[in-house]
Amino acid sequence: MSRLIALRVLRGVLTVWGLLTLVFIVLRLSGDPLEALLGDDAPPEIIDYYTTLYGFDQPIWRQYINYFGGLLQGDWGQSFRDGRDALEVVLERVPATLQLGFAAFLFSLALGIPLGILAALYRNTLIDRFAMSFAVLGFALPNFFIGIVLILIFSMSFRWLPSSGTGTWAHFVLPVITLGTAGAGSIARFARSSMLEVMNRPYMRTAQSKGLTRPRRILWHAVPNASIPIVTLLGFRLGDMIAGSVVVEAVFAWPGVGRLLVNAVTARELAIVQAIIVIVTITMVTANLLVDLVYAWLDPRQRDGADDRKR
Amino acid sequence: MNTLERGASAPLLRVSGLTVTVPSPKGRIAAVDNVSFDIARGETLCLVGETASGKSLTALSILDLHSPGVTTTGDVTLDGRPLLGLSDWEFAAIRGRDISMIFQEAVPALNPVQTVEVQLVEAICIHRKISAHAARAEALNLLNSVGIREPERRLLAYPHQLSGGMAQRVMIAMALSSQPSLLIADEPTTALDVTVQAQILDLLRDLRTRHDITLLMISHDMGVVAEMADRVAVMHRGQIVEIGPVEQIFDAPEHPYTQRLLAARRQVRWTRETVVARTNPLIEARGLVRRYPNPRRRLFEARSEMVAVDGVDINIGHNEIVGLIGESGSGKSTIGRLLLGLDVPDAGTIKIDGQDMPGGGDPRWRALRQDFQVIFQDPHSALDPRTRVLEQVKEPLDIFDVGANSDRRQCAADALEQVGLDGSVHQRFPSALSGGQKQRVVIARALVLVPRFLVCDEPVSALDVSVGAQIVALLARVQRENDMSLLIVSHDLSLVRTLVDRVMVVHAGKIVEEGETDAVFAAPRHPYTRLLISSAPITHPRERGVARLEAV
Repeated sequence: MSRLIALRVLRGVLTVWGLLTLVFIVLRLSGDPLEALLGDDAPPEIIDYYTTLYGFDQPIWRQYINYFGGLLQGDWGQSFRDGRDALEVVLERVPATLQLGFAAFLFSLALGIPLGILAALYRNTLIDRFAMSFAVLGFALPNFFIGIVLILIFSMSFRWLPSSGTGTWAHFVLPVITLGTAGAGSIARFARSSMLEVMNRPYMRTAQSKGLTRPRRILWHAVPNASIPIVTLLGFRLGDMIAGSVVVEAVFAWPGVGRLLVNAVTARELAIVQAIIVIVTITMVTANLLVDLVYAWLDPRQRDGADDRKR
Repeated sequence: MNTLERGASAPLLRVSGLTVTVPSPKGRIAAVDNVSFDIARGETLCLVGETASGKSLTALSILDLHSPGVTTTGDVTLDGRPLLGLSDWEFAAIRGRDISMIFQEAVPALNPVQTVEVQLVEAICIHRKISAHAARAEALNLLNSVGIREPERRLLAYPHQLSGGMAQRVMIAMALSSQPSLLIADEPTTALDVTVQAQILDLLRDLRTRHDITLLMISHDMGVVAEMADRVAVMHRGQIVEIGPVEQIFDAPEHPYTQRLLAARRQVRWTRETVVARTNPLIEARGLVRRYPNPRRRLFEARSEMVAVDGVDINIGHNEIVGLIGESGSGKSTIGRLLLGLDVPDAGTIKIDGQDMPGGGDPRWRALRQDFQVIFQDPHSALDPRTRVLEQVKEPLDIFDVGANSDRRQCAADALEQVGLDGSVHQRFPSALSGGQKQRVVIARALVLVPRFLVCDEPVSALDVSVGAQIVALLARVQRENDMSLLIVSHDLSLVRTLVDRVMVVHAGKIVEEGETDAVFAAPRHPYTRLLISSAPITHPRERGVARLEAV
């Protein structure tokens, strides 16, 4: 177990480093940050001043070393606009995104898993068809579209729910549904196929031959086994919740990291984009590590190393 | 022809007019067709038949354990009480309490995420009001009674940590937890090694007398039937073709199918005139060692190793048929792979015609792939499901660029002809073939390159007995016709006995005994060989009671 965690952490650090390097280079190749900051008609001496200040006059490899040197000492760089520490700017936005992402994740779990299980138990009936149609639709519709439709219906027509901003639980409803529906759809499909597979396993017949009634067979023997592959999927979905928030936060004017990222990229706020990348990657890596731990907890076969059955 | 036998008292279980229909691409078919039989209290009835004879479906019908889509009609009564048509709730009270069942593969039949204790205690608690503490004590008792050593430790084990034999003992313990009157055992020993099979059969016999259990046993193996049955019902294509006392079935089988089943078991030695050249062996291996690393449990833990092959010397002569027998995990398949050059030994040398075995990058290694062929255990997975039969047999010729393209088709057709398959199969896909036909295609695919050495890794284990007998005869014939050396890797003593010139017994990676087949079987010297031979099922019920050797 400790080996697993150590390996994952090491891999996570490498992932962050690789991604950051890529972003560092791409951002500097794709346009001049000072142009975005100062405008086209800034006097050359001002441009020179800022170029030297931010070190853009140095070769890119030196900038890269300087940046990583700073990073290792806890210096994440500054926002060009107001000179605030980049990490601080990003971190104050993190809670809002996490709240939204986590709520949406819970929503997709609470909707997707029961739906998938029901579809499997009532396979090829109307229940199954309905659940799977929902799943396909939810997965296929882009979330900005779902968001706009929801705003049209519930904010514009009925005026039941706010279309933007934060503050009350009512502000959560539409963004959470928008962000969570796609997840619920794919979780439902996965839960269904996982359940169907488990229901055909020999141990389910054993459970029946022991004299267990159907509800007990399903709850005690099918669901725990079916949950093992579902957990793998959840790792990806948890990551998607953070990444997907970029669009949803823009649609609902949610003051989170996603909207900050969009703005930072437009304004070429290099330090902020980089800080966001690091934070998001760390979240993803942590989510995947958590999934692996839950996986090992659910499946005793994982605890004993790869496979110690006889070859 | 259904013969109803009636005991003196009312039967415990009565099955009459049972018909089971299953969905198939051609519409619904009756996989079990109007089957009737009785089982008297305390009796053991064996339902015997081959794949798709309907024997397992019959057994599943009694407890209504069918998958959705299977429909059952007819009558099944237990102590006069009708079972078919009960609701799931009503049936749940009978399953496990009055009738229990154990299955062919015990490890997958146990829930992989629960410990043995959880599953045993659950079985105990369903049908009885009992405290958790008492149930745990009872679970320990049960494990003791099925002969599991260190039961306290095993209670905490998960199914994947158990061997097949141990898992089957746990299944039996679970099945007996509520002292059922009828135990249904569906091929309980088929997936086990022969020594373990002998132990499980002994256990079942012992429990049968101790707990006064009525046993319905499903088997394809006439040896197991000879060991266990009071009466035998022979099933063929969904019908019971013959039913009667076990001695009668073995001594005077009436139905031609029963006769065929029994004949398939009879150990005919293939007489061979081929003279084996002893002077220059084809393959000469000395001191072969192959180790595999075990998975590490902790970071920084020293990596331990599993020695699969531990100092093995083997000679295989030109035209010789050598048998490697041993149980699963003994290293016999690894030896086969090493001799083929598909795996590299950690130590030791292999010489082919006096020259060193070429390594992976050597052009001679590629030539070796043409000369050395292999046949695998499971013909179903050894063929590409999306390529037609003739193409698959022709493919090796394409790979090695043998002859002109038009000749290759003819060569492939000839190879198929040699294994007894005519033109009608050429354009078929493997899914349209029976298991025996598939194995013939696999053999044809190996023969088409005219190999000098053919390794057969459990060539008949996945096949029905009667089909297996045909494949054995085929192997004996093609060996004669093609002047090949054959290495038969198997756990099946009767296969080895009928086919090979010289036998080697593999145990824990070492060859513990080696000699002419008849000599080894007549007078085994090593204790493990003796155990192996004495564990083989008997051939006739009158041989029952002959003392078995204890496990080494």
